[in-house]
This record gives sequence, C-alpha cells and structure tokens, in this order.
Amino acid sequence: MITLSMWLSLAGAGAPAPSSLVELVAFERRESRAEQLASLKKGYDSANQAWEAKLAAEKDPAARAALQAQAPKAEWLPRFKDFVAADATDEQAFEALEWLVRNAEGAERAWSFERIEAHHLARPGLERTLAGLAPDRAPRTRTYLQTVLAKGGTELARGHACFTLAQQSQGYGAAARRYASFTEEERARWKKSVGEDFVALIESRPAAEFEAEAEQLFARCVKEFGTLDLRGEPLAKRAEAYLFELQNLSIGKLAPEIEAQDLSGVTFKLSDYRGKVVVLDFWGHW
Amino acid sequence: MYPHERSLVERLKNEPFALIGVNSDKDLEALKVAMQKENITWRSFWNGPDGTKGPISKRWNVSGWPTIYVIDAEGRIRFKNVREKAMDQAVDQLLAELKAKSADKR
Repeated sequence: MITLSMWLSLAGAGAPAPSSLVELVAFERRESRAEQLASLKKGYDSANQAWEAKLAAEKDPAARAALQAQAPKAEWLPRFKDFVAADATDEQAFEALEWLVRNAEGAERAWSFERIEAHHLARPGLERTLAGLAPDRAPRTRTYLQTVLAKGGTELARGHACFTLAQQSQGYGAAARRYASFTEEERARWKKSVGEDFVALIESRPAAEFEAEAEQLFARCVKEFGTLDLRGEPLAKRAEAYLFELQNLSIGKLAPEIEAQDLSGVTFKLSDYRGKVVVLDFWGHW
Repeated sequence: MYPHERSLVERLKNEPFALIGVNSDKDLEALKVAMQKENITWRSFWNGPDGTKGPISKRWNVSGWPTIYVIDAEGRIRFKNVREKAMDQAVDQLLAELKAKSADKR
C-alpha cells in the first residue's frame, strides 16, 4: 500500500497533480475506516468466543447467571455506534449498521434503522439488514420494513421486506387473537413483558385486519417478487406456503386431511378421528 | 412436554378424545427406544426421512417445534399453540361442546 507520507515525499519531488492528492486522501481514509471496522469486528468476535467458552464450561447455575449478565455485547455496542457516528454515510458505516441491527435491540436497533433510512436505502446488500427481523414485534421495526419495501434500491431488498413484513403482520394477528382471549390480569402481565407500544398497536385493530394484511403481502410476494431467491428457494414457493396456512390453517377452518404412515408403517388418516376432539402435536424427540 | 401429554391422555382415556402426533424424527429405531422409555403411547404420523423438512410439516407450514393444533369433533381447527393449562382448557371446552350437542340430539 502507498501511504500518504510516501506520496507526500513523491509530491515533494514535484510529480502528480493536486487532484490526485484529494483522491489519495480519500483512499487512505477509506482504507483506515475499513481497517478500523475489521479490528472492531475481530475484537468483538474473540471477546465473544472467549465468553461463550467460559459460559459453556460453567455448570453452577448462579455463576452461569452472573456470567450471562456479562455478555461482551454490552461493551461493544457503543464502540460500533461511535464508529458509525464518526461518519454514518460510507460503506463501512453501512457494514457496522448491519452488525448493529443484528446484535442490538430496542432503542439501539431503532437508532441503526434511522441511519440506514437516512443514508443507505439504495445500497446493494440492504436485504441483509432484514435477516431475523420477522419475530421483532417493535412498531419501529415495522416502519423500517415498510420503508425498505417502499424505497429500497434493489428488488431483492424490497422482496425481502415484503416477505418479512407479511410474516410480522401474521405474528401481530396471532398475538391480537391471543390477547383478545386473555383475562384482565393476564393482559396486565403481558403488557409488562412485551411492552406498552406493542400492546397499543395490536389493540388498535382487530386480528382479522392484520391477517388480511398478511395475506395481501404474501400474495404480493408471489406476484411481484416470486422469482427472487430466498435461502435457496424461490420466494413464491415460501410465500405460497404461508398463504396456504392463512387460508386453510387458521382458526375455524376445516383441518386439511393428513394421510400417512404411523411409526409402525400402518397408513391412517386424520379424518379417522372425526367425532373426537383431537390434539394434533407436531413433535420430535430432540 | 411429555409428562403433561401423558397425564392428559390418561385423564381423558374414556372420553371422545385423541392425541395424535406428527413425528419429525429421522431415526425411527432410536425414537422407538426413547418412546418406550418415556412411555409415549399415542399414535403418530411419521413426517418421513427428511425429518423437520418432511411433507406433513411442510404442508402445515410448521416452523417451530412443538406446534399444537386443537381440532373439534367436526374436524375444525379451534385452537393453535396452546400449552399446558391452556391446552387442557381448550380440550375440556370442546369436549363440553360435544356433550351438549349430543344431548340436544337425544
């Protein structure tokens, strides 16, 4: 690598034009940001590995709990945030934001969404920031997904956002249904565990509306983004499985037939048990 | 999970009730040993050699285990993912409905 000081000594010899100096400073800066980020990630990974090894070795429950409270993440999150705060607009900041979305939650995740929305919506790889967001119930996550669906620069990012948002809507519907069946006491307890803003959101509309929205979004995935590859499968196939669930496996629907062998190789049908109340339990011994 | 299911099956052995499993283990022989040990007596469909990626769980779009559906005597899905006490309540409610209906017919 040519360093700035080497170039300056060349410049002293009266060689390249000043515009190259500007380029070279930018190049140096990029290099140093990339190096900083790489060392941040490396530092976190080794701290985290050491912590995980210690945790795996600790058998005493009390000591384990104490160790669990000392996850290195807490110490590293502000370092990644500082790195982004120094310049939220460059490629390295985007990478650091991707790390933050994956590793932070709540207010810090929201902080990261804000910066991605402000500076990185057009960036290739934006879909990577959506991994694992479907079970996140926070309303702020919902608006982030909506923003990426509307304004994401690539089809891949928009398609992922559509699918993730659909899954989230389905989750809201299921939560709203459960919430409706709760007693006042259960509601109060639940409000504490999942957060008031989430409860306010599922109280704002009937469950059926969230479910209808999920259905529309999955259908949109099939129609608009069906050929995109989602972890080795076309998005249409994934979305159709969810559509089937919403249309045929929701409360009140006739259970689809199952005809298959039991564990001794004898074929039987779910409908053989018509006339009885059935608990159908998808299980495994693991 | 098993102790609760065992007690549910035991408590309702004389009622119009069935616990039906959809098992997603790949190794049937090892499973049979475990079932004997755990005293798992209820009938299960086998999801096939692909385990959790088998055809039944795929069609039912199951992504977490265990997943529970409670189905009434007419074959309608009435509850999803109820556990422990909530599962008992759901089953008892449907059994009571069934009894009320057959009393009406008489």
